[in-house]
Amino acid sequence: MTLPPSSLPAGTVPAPSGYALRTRGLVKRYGPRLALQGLDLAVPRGVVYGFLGPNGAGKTTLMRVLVGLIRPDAGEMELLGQPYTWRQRQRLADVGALVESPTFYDYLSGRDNLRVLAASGARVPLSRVDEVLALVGLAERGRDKAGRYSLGMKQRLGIAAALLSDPQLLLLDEPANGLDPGGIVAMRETLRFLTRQGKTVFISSHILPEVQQLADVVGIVNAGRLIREGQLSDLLSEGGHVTARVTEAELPGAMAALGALGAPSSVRPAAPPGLALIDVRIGPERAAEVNRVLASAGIYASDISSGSDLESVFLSLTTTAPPPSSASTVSWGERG
Amino acid sequence: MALLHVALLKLVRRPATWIVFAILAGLIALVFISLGATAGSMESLGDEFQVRVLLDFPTAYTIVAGFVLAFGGLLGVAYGAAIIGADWAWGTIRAIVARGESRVRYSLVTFLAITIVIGVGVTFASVVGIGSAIAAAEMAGLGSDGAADPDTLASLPELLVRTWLGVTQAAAIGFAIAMLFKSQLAGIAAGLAFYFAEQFLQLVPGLREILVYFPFSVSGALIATTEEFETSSAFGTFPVMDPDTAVIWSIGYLAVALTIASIAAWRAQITQ
Repeated sequence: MTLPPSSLPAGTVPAPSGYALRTRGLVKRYGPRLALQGLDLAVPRGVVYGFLGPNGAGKTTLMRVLVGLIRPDAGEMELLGQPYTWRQRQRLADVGALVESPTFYDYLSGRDNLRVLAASGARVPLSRVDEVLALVGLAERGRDKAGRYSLGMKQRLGIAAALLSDPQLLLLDEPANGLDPGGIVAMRETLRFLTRQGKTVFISSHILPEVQQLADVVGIVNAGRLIREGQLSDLLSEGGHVTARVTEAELPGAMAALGALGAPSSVRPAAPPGLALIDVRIGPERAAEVNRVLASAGIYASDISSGSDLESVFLSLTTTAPPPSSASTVSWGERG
Repeated sequence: MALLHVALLKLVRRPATWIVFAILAGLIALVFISLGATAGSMESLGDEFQVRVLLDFPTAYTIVAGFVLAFGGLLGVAYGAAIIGADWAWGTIRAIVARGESRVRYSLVTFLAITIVIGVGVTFASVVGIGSAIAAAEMAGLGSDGAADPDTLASLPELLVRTWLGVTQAAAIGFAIAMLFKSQLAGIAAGLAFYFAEQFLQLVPGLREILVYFPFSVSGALIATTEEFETSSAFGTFPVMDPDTAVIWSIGYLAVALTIASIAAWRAQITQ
């Protein structure tokens, strides 16, 4: 049972050594609700993969399926180049996971909690317990009871637990949760270090700026389906925009002039009445070009702004409403 | 072995283990010391005779085992449910399964560790119980010379093993219920409800012949010395299963409970 080639556009994702993880048509149903609706995912080896989606999109469900906590109803999975089903638990020896919030025996020390995990699944030597404790900066607090740990320390311990078996693939659910700024930087450096060693890091997160700083490849999921997957740089350039404010009387001329740029444009009303905003879907580095094209047509925009961030890309892909301007607010209900 | 080692580590470090030990030993010591203290002040000769029978060695060894089995069975149900139920309540089973550990193996090894701890607890409670019974016998002026009876001393290991089996069987029931419901609280509550329901049903004369085969009656029969238990009250007599037959039934219940727990673990969707 092998998966067909990825449906990603050629060259979108570098995969010289194959995929660390792939899913094809993955379906998971909770009663009448479909949490995963034929999810196709392709995670190249040796990258940090950011898995993004709004609440209830199916992110945690996928993580649970991948580590065998729940069983998929349909679909195929491939782990480190080999077909994988939930029955093949021994295959998880090469996978480290932090699924949802980390949970520990509060009455045991952090070190003993790791000893418990080290004896489960793929066995690891006890010396590794001290190594990973040191790696996450808990060497000196390892003998304290886990119940006395702060949220951030528990998160570090959870990351240490995921690293125990020196896995080829690391699955992390909201890894920055509860970490202080120093901890976030340290985690980022650790994950970067791991990818330099050829390991793959799969991060499910809501914290888009964090993913933007860390991920090489991004997958965006909504309502249990993958709606976009690709290199972060490509996604950001596609998601860039330049917005020009002109009068409604100038609109036809402005649109005609901007047509020369070959980029899709859309128009939104602006305040006060009589003004309009033209969103041109091009990278922010071309803002001057927009200004020049408009000026050549005798139109002088009263404002030109540009932007390119994962958040605007994410929102444009996961909301049915048009992408909001930076000044507007988005209600919880609009987030899909 | 590594998994068993850490399963034991978890139980030994867990305060609940020591609290259960303390409650079990404390209750038994309290019962015997109370009997010893009140033996000489009974209002009727009949009552005094009954107290003296309880404290008379070597018979008192079986009485001690009976108390360990009764209190231990009750606590065992709760303990078995509490230990595996906590893995669900706290979500710790998630990290273990996510490491590729077999759910069934983890469940069975956890229960094996519980069994070992129960063995220690039963031994500890029996030692405390025997010590308390000797002290109570001395307090009642009965003396404890019979405690050194060689035949009875030779049979003590078997008595201890039977008591341990009975408590382990009770723990297996709590364990299976908690696994089935994926809940610590449900396991303890349903396990104890099951225990007390069986005790109360004993009061219905027509059911007694059937209840002999029920799990907690079976565990009680493991150390039975008579074919029926006669009360001086209006409740009449209660039939009791032959102790050797009870061993077979008890092992059967243990096997069924662990099979149910294993299937429940294997099938469970871990969403906690």
